[in-house]
Formats: sequence, C-alpha cells, structure tokens
Amino acid sequence: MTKFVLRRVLLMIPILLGVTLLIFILRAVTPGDPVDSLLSQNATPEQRAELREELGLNDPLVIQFFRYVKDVFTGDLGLSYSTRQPVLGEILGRFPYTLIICFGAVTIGLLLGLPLGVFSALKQYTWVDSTILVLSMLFAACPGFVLALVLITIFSVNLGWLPAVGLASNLGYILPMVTIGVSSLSRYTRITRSSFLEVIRQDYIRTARAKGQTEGKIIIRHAFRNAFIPVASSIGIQIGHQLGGALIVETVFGIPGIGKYIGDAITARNFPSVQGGVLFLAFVFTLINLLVDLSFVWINPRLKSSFVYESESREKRILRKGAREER
Amino acid sequence: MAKRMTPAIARFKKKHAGKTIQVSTPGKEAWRRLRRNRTALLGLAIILLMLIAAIFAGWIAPYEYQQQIYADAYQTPNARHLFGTDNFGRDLFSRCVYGARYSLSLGLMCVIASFLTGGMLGVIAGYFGGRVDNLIMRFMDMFQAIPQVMLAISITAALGNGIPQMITAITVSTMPTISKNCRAAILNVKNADYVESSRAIGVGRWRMIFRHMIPNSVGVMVIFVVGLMGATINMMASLSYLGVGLNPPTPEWGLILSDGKGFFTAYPHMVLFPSLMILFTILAFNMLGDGLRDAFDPRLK
Repeated sequence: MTKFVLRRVLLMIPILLGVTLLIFILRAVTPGDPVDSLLSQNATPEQRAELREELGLNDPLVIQFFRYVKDVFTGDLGLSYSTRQPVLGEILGRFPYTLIICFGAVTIGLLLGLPLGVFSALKQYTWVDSTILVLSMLFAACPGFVLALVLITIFSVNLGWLPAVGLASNLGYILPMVTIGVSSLSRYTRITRSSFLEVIRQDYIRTARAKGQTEGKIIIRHAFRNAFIPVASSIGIQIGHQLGGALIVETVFGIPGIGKYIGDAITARNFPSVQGGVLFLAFVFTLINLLVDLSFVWINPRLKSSFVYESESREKRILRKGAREER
Repeated sequence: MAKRMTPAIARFKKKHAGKTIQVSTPGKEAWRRLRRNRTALLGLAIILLMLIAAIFAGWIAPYEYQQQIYADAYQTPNARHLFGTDNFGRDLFSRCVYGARYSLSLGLMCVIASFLTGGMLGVIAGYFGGRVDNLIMRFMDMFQAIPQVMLAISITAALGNGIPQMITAITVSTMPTISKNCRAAILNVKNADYVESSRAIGVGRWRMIFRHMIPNSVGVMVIFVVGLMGATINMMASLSYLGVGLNPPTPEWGLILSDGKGFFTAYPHMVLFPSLMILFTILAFNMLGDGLRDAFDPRLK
C-alpha cells in the first residue's frame, strides 16, 4: 500500500509540471503587453523598459519558464500585477469561500439526491419514477448560470428572502450552494437509482426478506449500504466539476472565491494571478483525484492492480498472470 | 476491391433471386429499440425542430438578427415580436432562431474537431498500446488536470474572442475525455475474433483501424457524439455568458442571455427565452443520448 501511495503521489509531479508548461504556453501566445496594463498611458519609454526588466520579460521564454517552475516549487507564485501582493497569499485567502460552497453543494446534492434515487428505484416504472427522472434530466441540462438567474429571480427578486449577490451575511452562501448542488443532484440521483436497482436483485436481499427482516431495515441496512459505494466514488469527480464550475457561479453571485479571482484576473490580463490560480486549482483537482483513487483501493483492494501495474512491462504482466493461474 | 463471387454465394443468389431477404443488423435492432423509447424520440424531435430553425432561419425569422428598431425597444412578448425585444429593439425571436444556427453548427464543429484530434489519439493509444498508449494518456492527463471549463476559459482568454478561437478552446478542453472514451472503445474490440482473423489474413494496421475497429465501435461513439453535443452547447453558452466566447452582436444563445442579464429584473423575457432555448437543446441531446445508449446496449440500462 505504501508503495502504491508513493507511486501515485510521484505521478502527480509530471502532471503538474505539464500543467505549468501548458499555462505558460497559453500566456506566451496571449497578445498584449502586460506592461500596458500595469503602467498608465503616459508612462515614459524608460519607465516601461525598467518595468520589463524588473518583471524579467526580456529574457528568453525558456529561461522565464524555468524561473517560474523554480519559483512554483518554492511556493512563490509571483506578484499579482493588479494588487502587487503575492498571488499565493491572495489565492489562499479566497480558497475557503470556494471550498465552503463546494462542500455545501455536495451536502445538498447528496441529501436530496440519495433519497430521490432510492425512492425512484423503489417505485421503478411508476409515475413517481418518471417524474424524478425527468426532473433530474432537466436539472442536469440546466447550465449553472441559467439556474442561478432563475434562483435569483425567485428568492431574491420576488420573495426577497436571500441576497442576490455578495456575502454580506452568511445567507449569501445559500443560493450558490443550491445552484451547484442541484446540478450535481441529478447525477447522484441517477447513480443511486441504478446501483440500488442492481443491489436489490442480489441474493443477500432475498435472504434478508426470507428471514423475515422488515422492508425498512432491508432498504437501509442491506441495500442502501451496498448501493452507496458507486455514489461515494462519484463524489470526488463531482467536486472536480464544481471547482471548474465555480468560476461561473461565483461570477454570477459575486462571491470572492478563487473562481471569481481567476475570472477577474483574465479580464485584467493579470497573468501571474491567472497562472497561479489555474495551477492551484489543478493541484487541488489532482489531489482530489488521488484521494478518490486511494479510497477506491481502500474500499476494494482488488482494484489495486489496475492502478499500480499500469506501467509494468508486458512480459512481467504475462508472467504474473501465469503465476496466478498456476496457483 | 471487387466483390468475389464464390460458388456458395452464387448458388444462394440463384435460389433466392427476386426475393428480399430480411437481415437484422445491430444498427437496425438499435433503431427498433430506439423507436419505442418515447423520451429519446422527444429529444430527437426537438433536435430536428432546432435543425429546421437553424437551416431555414432566414425564412422563419421575421427580422434580421442584428436589425435594431429603436421604436420597438423593451417590448414584452406580443404578436409582432413573439419573444419580445431587447434594449436595442432587436427581435428576440429572430435572434433565438438564428442562434440555433450558431449553436448547432459550432457545436457540431467542436465535436468533429475533438473527434479528429482527441478521438484519433485515443484510437491510436488503444490500438498500439504500450509506450505509445502511455505517452498519449499522460499527455491527456495533463489537460485533464485542469477543470474543463477553466481550461476552456484560459484558452479563449489567451487567444481572444471569435469563432475559431472558441472552437479551439472547446476542442482542447473536451479532447481528454473523448480520447479516453475512444481508447476504451477500441480496447473493447481489440481482442474480438474478427480482428484476430483479419490480422491472420494480413490486414494492415490502418486498414484494420478504419475498416474494422472504428466501424464496429460506431455505436459507442455515436453515444459520445450526442452526449458531447449537449455538453459543448452548454460550455459555449457559459463562455459567451462570461464574455470570453463570441463577440456581440452574434446571436449566440449565451450571448443573448448575457446581453439581457442587466435587464432581467424588469424584463425577464430577455433572459427567459434564450435560457429556454439552451435548456431544451441540451435536454434534447441528453435525452437522445440516453436513449441511444439504451438502444445500443440494453444491458447498460
């Protein structure tokens, strides 16, 4: 297990290096001079040249890239062009908002999605089932910003219960959480439904019925516990989607999270912030995927082979297979 | 290559001359199952409707999409302007109808582009395996490490607004998913008997891929295409909404919505109709995609 974890952690390094390179290339092809956005219109050419030198923009791109990588590994993501503050500090200050919203969204998605999925499976092929399925399809098809506008119209404009933008009070968290939560709800509902339908046909459910267990206990203790595994494994993927979708939802609701930070930095051509923000999100995303993979293996050790022996040579694999069959 | 007539085939043809023979292919079976799926048919109907709107936009739309009639600005839906007008007096119905043209054609172009890049890379990875596979897949992992929407936004931000730029952005960001799916599809048929036998009679690798493996995984790939269309239209609208996709006055649904969002408390119709167009189109593609999945592989249901 230690070897497996180590391998997976080491695999993160080339991926993150690749991401750094990718972001760097994107920056290199971006038209426009960052000096233009930093200095006022009437700056002298000397001032401009001085600033270019100071930012290291005169060096060849390769040197700039290696300097950036070196800085990243020492935890220095550079200074934001717009505020002149360290990017890492700004990101860390904003990340909690995104994190709270994501976790709130997962909770909402699970709290609604699981019961709906179970209910829909129990009433398979009835009008209840089809209504739930149609609703979940509708939510799945609804882009985040459309849902956000609908929710703002209902709860902020018409009812006036919740603030439409900003985080003046903690109530401001509710609408963004619901927006993201509802869009992941449909996925949870559908996975729960199909996995529940599969589980409920298993022999151990029949055994439980045969020994006279009450229906409620069968559903909760026997069926639900086993049906939950595929749902749990999709949570990590959902969090990843939500981190990406955060940009849109945070922009709509004016939440000062990391998504809005990157969005604002893009409009302001503030490259260090864009690079740092995207890199940070990629890091978190990769870390979550790693944790998800590890938890898979922890739940079901048989899966280990599919992750560990990925890069093993073909001969070795055949040998191992042969050895197993002999046993 | 001319079809060779073996004696057995000649005898068979002689015996059954003039009769039509009912052959059931997997494709026909799938279509038969799909026809019974009401949700999928509804999806198909909506898509056809959108296609008609897209193709005949010039005849259907009563106004030009950029035509500004200042006297008619801020009108709520009425007989002259079915969906009302926006702050410039542009007819929203016309804009939404023309929007179908943009969303469907751009969506299709993105899907084709990601199939030609990501899909082909996935097929190559799956077919050759080993080091090639590892290299391509690690390359895709790199792209996949950045959340999809974020990647698309970063690319459009770097390249600027415009149609080719947006297609590039969406293609690159959907490439990893599609390559992984295509790789899986190829791996699925790689060890099939007909592949073995084709190899035994000396079929070359590219002919093997294009004549045998891809046609046999077409069912799975059709499901991706349809599902991807929905996702692409969603992403396109999101990008335009954030102002990093297309430039006004392009009647892209996300952009119409974005133009109207400033007025939506007073004139909700400016946001409502483009939202509904986006919602129903994505829904239709999802419904058809689910139906196709069930039709091609009933076990997955």
